[in-house]
Amino acid sequence: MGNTKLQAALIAGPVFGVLANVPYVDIANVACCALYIGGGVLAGYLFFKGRGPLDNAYAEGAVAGLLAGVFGGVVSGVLGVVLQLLGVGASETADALARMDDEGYEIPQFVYDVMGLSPLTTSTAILGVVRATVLYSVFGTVGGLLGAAFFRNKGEDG
Amino acid sequence: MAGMTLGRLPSPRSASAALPQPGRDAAATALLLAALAGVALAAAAAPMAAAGWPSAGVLWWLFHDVCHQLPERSFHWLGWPLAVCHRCMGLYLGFALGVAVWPALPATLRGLAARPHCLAACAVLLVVDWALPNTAASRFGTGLVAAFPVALLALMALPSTTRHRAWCRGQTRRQRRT
Repeated sequence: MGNTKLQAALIAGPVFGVLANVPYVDIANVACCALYIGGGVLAGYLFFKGRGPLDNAYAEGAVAGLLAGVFGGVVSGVLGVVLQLLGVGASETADALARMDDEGYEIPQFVYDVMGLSPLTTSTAILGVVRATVLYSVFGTVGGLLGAAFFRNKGEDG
Repeated sequence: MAGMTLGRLPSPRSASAALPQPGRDAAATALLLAALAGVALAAAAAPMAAAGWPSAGVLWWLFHDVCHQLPERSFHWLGWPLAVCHRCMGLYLGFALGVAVWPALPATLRGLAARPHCLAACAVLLVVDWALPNTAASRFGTGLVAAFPVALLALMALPSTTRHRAWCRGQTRRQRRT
C-alpha cells in the first residue's frame, strides 16, 4: 500500500517549497517552473509507488499535485517573507529592474513596491504567500498529471 | 475505494476516446477559460503599462516567480514587454491550444493516451533549444510544442473525476434505498 495523497503532498510540497528559496537552486524555476512542477511530480511518484491500478489515475495524480502545490506554496511563501526580512534574495529582482531602467523603460514606483523591493508590509507579505500558493497549486497540478503519466501502475491499460 | 471502482467504470483507454469537449462539457470549458485567462493576464501587462495603469505592476509581480521576464527575451506590445518570456508564452498558449484541439483528434489521442510517457518526447525539443543558441521563434515554438500534449493529460483527468463523482452519487442513492 503506498502513501495517501495527503502524505505524498506533505512530503513533496515542503521539500520543493524550501528548494525554491535556496539561492542558485531557485534559478531552476525560471526553466519552465521546474521546481513548482517538480513538487507535483514527486507527489505523484510517492502516491503511485506501490499502488495498484487506479481507474482515475490522472485525477488522483492531479489532486496529489494540487495538494503538494498548496503545502509547497505556503512553505515557499512564508520562507520568502522571512528571507526578505533578512534581506536575502532581493538582488536578482533589483538587477532585472535596473536593466529595464537602463534600456529606457520608465519603471513606476508601484513596480518596486509590488516586487518586494520596498520595505516589507503586512499586506505585501500576505500577498506574497497567496501568490506562491496559487502558482504552486497550478503548476503542482500539472506536475501531478505528469507524475500520473510516468508512475501510475499501468496494469490495466498497459 | 479505488479497487471498488475497478470493473465498474470504463478503463482509461476507453475514457480517452471520449474526452470532454470545451463548449459541451462544463469542466473542459472551465479548463479552457482558465488556460486562456493565464495567456490573457500575461499579455495584458504590456498594454496596461502603456496606459499607465498601476495594475500592470501586479501582473509582472504575479509571474515574477515563474519567469525571468527579461525584456530582450519577451514579446513586446505597445513598446512594453509582456509579463512572461517567449518560451513561457509558448507554454501557456500551447496548453490552451491543446485543451481546445485534443478532443477533435480522437485517432491520435487514442494512441498517445495509451503511452503517455511518449508525450515527454515533445519536451526534448524545448531542452535542446534551451541548450543551443536560439531565437524568439524557436523559444516560442518549442514552448508551444512542449505544453500541447500536457493538455491531453489534464483532459483525461476530467472525465475520470466526473465519472467518479457520478459513481459516488449512485452509491449514496443505493445505500439510501437499502
